[in-house]
Amino acid sequence: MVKRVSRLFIAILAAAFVLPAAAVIVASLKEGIKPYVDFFVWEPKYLRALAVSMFIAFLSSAGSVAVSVLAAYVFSQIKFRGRGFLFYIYIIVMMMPFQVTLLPQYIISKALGIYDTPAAMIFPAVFSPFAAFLLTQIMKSIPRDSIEAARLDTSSTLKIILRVIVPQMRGGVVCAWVMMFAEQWNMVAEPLVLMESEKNYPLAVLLSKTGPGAFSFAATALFMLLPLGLFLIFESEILEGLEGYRLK
Amino acid sequence: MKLHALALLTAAAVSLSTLCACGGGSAPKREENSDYISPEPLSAAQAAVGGDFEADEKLPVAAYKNIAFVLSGNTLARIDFSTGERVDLVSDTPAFAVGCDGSRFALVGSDFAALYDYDGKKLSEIALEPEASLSYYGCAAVDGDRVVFNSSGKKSDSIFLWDTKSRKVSELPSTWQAGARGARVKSLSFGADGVLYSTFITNAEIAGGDAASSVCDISEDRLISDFKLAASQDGGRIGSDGVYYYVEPYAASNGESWSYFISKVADDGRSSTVAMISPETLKGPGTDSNIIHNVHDDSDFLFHDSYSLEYSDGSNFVVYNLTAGLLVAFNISDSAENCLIALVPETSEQHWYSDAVKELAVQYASESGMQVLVNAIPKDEYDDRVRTKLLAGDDDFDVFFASGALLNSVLKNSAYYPLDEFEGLVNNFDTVLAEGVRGLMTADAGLFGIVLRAEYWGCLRETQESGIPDSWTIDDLFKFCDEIPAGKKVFGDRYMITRSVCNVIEDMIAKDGSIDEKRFSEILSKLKEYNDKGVLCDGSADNYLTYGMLAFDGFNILGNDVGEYRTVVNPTMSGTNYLTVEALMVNRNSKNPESAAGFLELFTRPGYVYDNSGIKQVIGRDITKNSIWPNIEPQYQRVYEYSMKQYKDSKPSVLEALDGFSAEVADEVSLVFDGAETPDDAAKKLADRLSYIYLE
Amino acid sequence: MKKKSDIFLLAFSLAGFTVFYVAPFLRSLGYAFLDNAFTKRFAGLGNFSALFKNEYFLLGMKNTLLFTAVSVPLAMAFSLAVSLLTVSFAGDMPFVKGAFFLPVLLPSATIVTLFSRYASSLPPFLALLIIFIWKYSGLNIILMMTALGSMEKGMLEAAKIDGAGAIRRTFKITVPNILPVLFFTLILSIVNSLKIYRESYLLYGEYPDKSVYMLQNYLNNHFEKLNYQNIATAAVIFAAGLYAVVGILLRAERKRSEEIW
Repeated sequence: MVKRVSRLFIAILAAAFVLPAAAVIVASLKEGIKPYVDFFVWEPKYLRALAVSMFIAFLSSAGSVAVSVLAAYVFSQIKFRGRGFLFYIYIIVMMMPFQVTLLPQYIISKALGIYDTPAAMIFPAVFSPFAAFLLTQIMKSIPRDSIEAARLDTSSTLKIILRVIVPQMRGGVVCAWVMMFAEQWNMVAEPLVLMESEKNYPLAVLLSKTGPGAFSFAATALFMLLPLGLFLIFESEILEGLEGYRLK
Repeated sequence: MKLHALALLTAAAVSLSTLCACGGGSAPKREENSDYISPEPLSAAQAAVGGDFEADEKLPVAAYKNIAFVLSGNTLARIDFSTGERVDLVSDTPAFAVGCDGSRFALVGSDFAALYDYDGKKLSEIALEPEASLSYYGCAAVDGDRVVFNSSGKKSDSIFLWDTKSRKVSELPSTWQAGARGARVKSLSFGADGVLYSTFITNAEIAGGDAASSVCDISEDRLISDFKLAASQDGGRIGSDGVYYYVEPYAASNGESWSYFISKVADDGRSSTVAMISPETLKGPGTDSNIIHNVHDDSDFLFHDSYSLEYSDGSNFVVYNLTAGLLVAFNISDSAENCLIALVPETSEQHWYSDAVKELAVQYASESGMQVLVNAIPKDEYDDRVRTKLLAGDDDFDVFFASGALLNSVLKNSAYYPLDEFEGLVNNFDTVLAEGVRGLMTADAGLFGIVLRAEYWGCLRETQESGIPDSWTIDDLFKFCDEIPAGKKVFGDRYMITRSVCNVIEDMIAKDGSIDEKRFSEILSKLKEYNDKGVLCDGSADNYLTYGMLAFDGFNILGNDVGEYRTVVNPTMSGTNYLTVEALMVNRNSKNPESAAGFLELFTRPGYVYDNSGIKQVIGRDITKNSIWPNIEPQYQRVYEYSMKQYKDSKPSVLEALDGFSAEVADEVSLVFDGAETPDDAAKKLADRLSYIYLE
Repeated sequence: MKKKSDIFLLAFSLAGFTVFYVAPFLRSLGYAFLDNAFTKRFAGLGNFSALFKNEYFLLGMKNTLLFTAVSVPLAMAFSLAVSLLTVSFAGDMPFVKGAFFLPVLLPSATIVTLFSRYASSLPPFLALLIIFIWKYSGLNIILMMTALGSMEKGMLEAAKIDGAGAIRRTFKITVPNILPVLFFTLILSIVNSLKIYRESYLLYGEYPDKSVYMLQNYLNNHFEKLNYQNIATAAVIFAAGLYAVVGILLRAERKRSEEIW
């Protein structure tokens, strides 16, 4: 009996969570399929913005995971002086509101010559402390034994990380990747400061400038379906990967 | 613990070094200006288009960097700008269009197309079907093995692609002319990665129809972007960097010459000028001046030649002067050091700001040899971008426009280069502009800029002799109400008093830094008292004041009815008027503050200010010194003289930057007058509403 | 043996982190001691005392802390409850995880357009609370569900046999087992609670109702007013606060995990 009620409750809750997204799709279809055709054929700048968004989000998430896995290894496996303190700094910076770092990042991107290029968004994302934090926490719970065992086989640390550690935390890695992706995907304020040519704006920015209407709903639907699709593809991965170990 | 201390010390050290690098600068340093470098672009070379050309008729031309191909008569010649030599490569060809890239050129005619290398050796040829036939008007472009050209075989132009490798001619899908159906192709060019750019005229039947452009990727068969162009942006082409370039003529403000900008506009409307070119460069030696004499009415007028941009990659350009039959190739250096950059907001409705700056840029260049380039940023992004640049200390711009909230914050933080040290400018403020304008344009750090527009709303005019002084304060108003004769009231309706109440608030914030709720409430109470007596706004008495107009915008009152009685402005709190100001200012971090100030000085010069009776004039000028002053009718003269007095003791308004604020004030006043709200509550509400301005 | 040189693997992250986060942050901190970003006169601690007396800054800090203090526990409790229920009874229902996670992926602008109709009738704090729980619980739910799912079933079975009731089992066995995940999602939720500014800005503008005027409103408005020195000062104060709070949390986590293991 409890089981039935709970299932019903969960089902209703899930529906409530999905409702707004569904509303967007419904609203976009009010004029039939035309807005979608528009998006792909007649309004090329949205398609271009979508490409920019994907470029930035993919590179950011992949890059941050790559860099942060290495950092996580050091943070979780190697005891060094100041480790706690450094990690502490990572967390504090991670919590800073973006207004504090955005202007200096503008200055730096100009100095490095990456202003008004997607690189201006990608670099800060790749070195974001968030991914390092997340992966460190996950890596802390990898059983030491498997690492020690691996060390007997090879002395290359990179090999150990890639062949032994990462496969065991596959779910966490994917989780970090998806979260970084989603965060970059939705950014609006940062691209407006770090870039100025409309051809470099990601789709999130263009959408924020477009007025309401069937077209903007269609564009929004497409905008959110892409990361959702990614997530659904990897959902099983996450399930598999996270089973059998604990997040410490 | 030690580690924490060490980290804190490091952080402190880094922060301190920031402080030291900034130094305790109060007055910005002024550098001695180096020699001005001529604004002429480097290595400008000219070549006659040759053959028998007719003025303003466009011969088929194609160009790439320093090389141009001209089809005149039936002969194709190659011109090398660096050596000046001209070689005939192909003769007796019935082609109508020529296109080229870095190593090949193509000729396209009504029934054939041929590809050659730079020496004229034919590489490939193909016969064209009638539907792909080129008519008298054509464009062509080459990219490696591919040749594109347009055809007017059907009702509207189509673009055809000839792949010389596969020896196939195919028509490109018309989706690429998105939004430009029924279009006539004006230019075709290739960008990096083989992307095809094209510009069109839509609605080809009507001359001067809308211009449009599109960017397509041939290999991927899709449209990348398209955008509209204005008619004034005609004659250009999309450069290999994907931005639309065109030649923009501007008359000098003294009406005696033209100068030219190479301008670019991106698909989001962002436009900027990249270089200034003098007429001599574009017209060649020994050509007549631009003045055409009209024999019918014996008048002279200026005209400029027609230009078409034949090649652009962002730094190399080839311009075809259709009127003089001249091809000019030049490149622009990164001459950021010896030119001024001005930032202005761009609106699609009007190009007021960029027009004003460009006009004077022409004059400034001729006087100082320094170019002034304009970057127009879309209006909705303008304020935020300028804020970012100001806070970041960017030095890549010299002059910028500011209004509204941006102006207020710039003034409060002295984010401008004070202009007091530039005597020419200061002199103009004192001798050319009306008295008080200098005070209006002076803030904490000094003279902050020049006025482009200053507006005053809420002015009134008498309906009959009233004895109201030219300028009065709230206390004067109360006294006037005490002594007002029976059957009379001051204002025609409640809304007329809104300005006075705003003046009170504005004055309190400006002078005391906050709203004195008690005093404000007292004033509201007193106003309500008088209103209840029927001598202020409500009631059936005869009103002394009704809506009027002030000549702050210049000559726009001419032709309007200003009545026979005086203009009167609303009472102020303590005698200070608050005007909505728009200004051009100099960037505090500009590399050329002196030149920037010299440029701004043009705006305030007698010649520019006095004789310009168009819309684009500088506000604040002393109209009595204008040469047409004696011809203005007395009733307008009265209004002008009165309006000039309002500059005395005036300051930029802070409240006007707030959308809808005056409407809120009007509502509160109405509530108080109706008795629906106590003056205390109204005062508190408005003070609360505004507290963030001075308290946050 | 672990190679000492392995520590250089951290170099990539650390280098980029320093260049793009730490150095910029420290550089802007310098402005906290200047009167403003243009005239650059040394102001000592003047900005700090001014800020501590400024009612808007204090309001912003208070509301930010309040919102975090209220929203995070609520969101965590909600997520925990949903996760427990789902894992126990609805683990086989398809698309449930995706459904809960979906709001995380939605752009703020869309959320606001959809919510604005209802938001106007709710007190702003509550509206933002609801949006926060709706938008960010998905993350917590996913993480908690997988942690719960991987818990050793044996322990729960043993407890059941011993006669422990459902509630007791939950608090004495389940929760301690997933404590690491809870700590982790706590930090995540705190970080996310600060992001609610985006929705607040789109719904209520730059000067919202006093109950939801947050630190980021203060920061954003002072940017508009070109008062960078106030932003820098606020950042210093905020960082100092975080320094303390996070320190406490980290120490608590370390102690707890020592207790269990």
